[in-house]
Amino acid sequence: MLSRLFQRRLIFVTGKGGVGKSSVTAAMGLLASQQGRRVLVCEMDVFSAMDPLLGGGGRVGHEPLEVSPGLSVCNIDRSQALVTLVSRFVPSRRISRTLVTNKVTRLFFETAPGVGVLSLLHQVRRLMHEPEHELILVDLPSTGHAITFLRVPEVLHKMLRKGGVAEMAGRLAQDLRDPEVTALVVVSLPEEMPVNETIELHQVAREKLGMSTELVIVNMVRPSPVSAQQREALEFLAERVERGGVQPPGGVARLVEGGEIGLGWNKQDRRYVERLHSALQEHGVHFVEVPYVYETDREQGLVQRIAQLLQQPVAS
Amino acid sequence: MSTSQHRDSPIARLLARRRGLVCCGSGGVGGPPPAAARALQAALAGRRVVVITIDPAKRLANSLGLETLADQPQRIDLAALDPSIAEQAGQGELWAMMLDVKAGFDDLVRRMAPDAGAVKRIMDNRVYRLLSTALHGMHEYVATQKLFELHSSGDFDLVVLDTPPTKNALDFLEAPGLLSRFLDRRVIRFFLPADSKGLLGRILQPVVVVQRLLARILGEQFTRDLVEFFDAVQTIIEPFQQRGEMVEFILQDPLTSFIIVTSPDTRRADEAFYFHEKLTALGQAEVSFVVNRVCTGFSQEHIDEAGQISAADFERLVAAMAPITDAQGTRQLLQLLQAHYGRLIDLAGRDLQGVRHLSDRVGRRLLHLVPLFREDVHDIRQLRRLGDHLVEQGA
Repeated sequence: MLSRLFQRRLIFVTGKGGVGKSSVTAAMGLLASQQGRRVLVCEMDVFSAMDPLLGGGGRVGHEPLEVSPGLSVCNIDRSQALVTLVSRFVPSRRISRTLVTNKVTRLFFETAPGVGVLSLLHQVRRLMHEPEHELILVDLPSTGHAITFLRVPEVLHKMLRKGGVAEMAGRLAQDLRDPEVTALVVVSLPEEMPVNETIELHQVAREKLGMSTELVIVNMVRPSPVSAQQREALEFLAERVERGGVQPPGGVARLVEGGEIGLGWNKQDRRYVERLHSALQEHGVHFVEVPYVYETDREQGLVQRIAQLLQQPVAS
Repeated sequence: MSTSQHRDSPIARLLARRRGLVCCGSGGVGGPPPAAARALQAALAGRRVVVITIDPAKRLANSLGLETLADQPQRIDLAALDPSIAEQAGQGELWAMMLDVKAGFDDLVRRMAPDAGAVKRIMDNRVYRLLSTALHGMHEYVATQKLFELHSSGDFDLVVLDTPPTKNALDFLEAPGLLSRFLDRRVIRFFLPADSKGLLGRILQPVVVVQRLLARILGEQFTRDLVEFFDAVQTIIEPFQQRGEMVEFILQDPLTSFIIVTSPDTRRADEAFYFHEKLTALGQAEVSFVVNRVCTGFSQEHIDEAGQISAADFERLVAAMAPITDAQGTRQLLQLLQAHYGRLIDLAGRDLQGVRHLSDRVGRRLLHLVPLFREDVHDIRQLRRLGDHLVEQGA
């Protein structure tokens, strides 16, 4: 599934804050680069999440930085992206810099609806056309709403109608809708609200953006602490211990209790995964599950571990 | 904990005086919604409570067991959800609404514009139409306005505002400012030539130059729309700004309190702390933190105190209790359980560290920990359980 996805030019990764979107995006970038693609991971945040995740050593900034073979990272700076956008339409970069740095016009550009988003997407599109990047993964800001964000080109195109920006917005909108070029990936969690949000996001993206969700990555699915065969025995033990009929020696009661909690978590998570499947599978959405990575299993680094897990077939 | 205890406790007395409660933060994802829990708690204490959500993802509706919420306050039928809860609530009422951002903003303009003509001019403008749907922070802006409106309507004893979980809790404080900055007098004056006086002012008017440049960038039609827009909104700037000041007043009011929702993760804790500092700088002292989904109760001592069990003992035990006869399977079970317990201990250790990270900065007194429940909180009973839990801790 993933190697096919990685053949696209542009992948937008979305998901609400707290679902592990950045870690998963970093892992996807790592995996794609290991599969031989030249990858650029773009973020648009005040603080770079990719820097610590992918080992940027505090150097991740507006310009792409290669952090490992075939894998580059950049954190697009709003005002620099704006200067780039504006300079396309005014005679010199100096004038556009003046326009952008002037107190009043800057206030206007920073706050005018859509302009910020458009300049960010414009920058992404520019990077996409640089030959050294085959695949661009965009870690969409979790603030605000992905749909509003991705709708900006279309809305601006319709609104401006004529002129340079209108045309550029139109081209961007076209790229976003083209499934050969762009894919939308949603990172979710096996929990009530993230599941509902994912289903809703898929629907809204289809209706309002004409984009279909290619892949849902269900992150942090808690695995069963024991194998299927031992499950029955554990449940039986837990029931006995809980009823108080037996006073097992040592820490066994605690171990059994811990095991039972783990079983409960796993059952609950599976229910949510099932709900996602039944709501989205018929729309051709693919799924990848990432098991919860406990602290103890993180020796080689969280991102590396997730990249490994992303490749494993889904256990049901 | 019974209702009467709730009403008599010092915390409940404080709660009874509160008029506004804003829940915001980054730890909200997936975790139990403290806003809904607190709103229910106050309703159970006999108050008339309305909770406003601005999250388009229906978190609040879900937690109240509803599919959708209207954009006007609707009363939650507690009896239909749970008769015992309704009984406990007595005179208390729980209302909820989901903010429709576009409708809310239109409504605001209608009220502030001097006449119907001005309303029409603004609403017909294409820049306005874009502004009211696409401006980042519009959600937050309209939400604080709604908070003010319901707060001052006198219909409710307590207004609870539930904001969507954002990566940066500061968005909530900063985003509304974006709009007022966009409608800043300086920006407007820049676009409207009428203001400058005298020959020199007219010659040096930057507006002509800037408009020409903008027309190149944004197209002439749009620049005309823009100038027209600023001209049209002039009439509502003043009421808008007055309104903004009143909202600020409510946010700073000691009877308004903030709950910052976070999780036991050092990165999130840093964000929460930063937000706390900002609020303090604003003069808002009524801040507390809810740390969601804290894994507690697992430690190596539990196992050590009880003494390690040998594989042979475990086998005997299992043989006596459970239907496995296979010795290898039993040994494996013990190993798996031990490994799993080890992970739980680590999880608890990490969470404890995250909590300490925050409590070292803001003090343990301001933190309210919500344990990682065995099940998600998304129905009214679980919501009450969460509410009780928060009250016990004095949140």
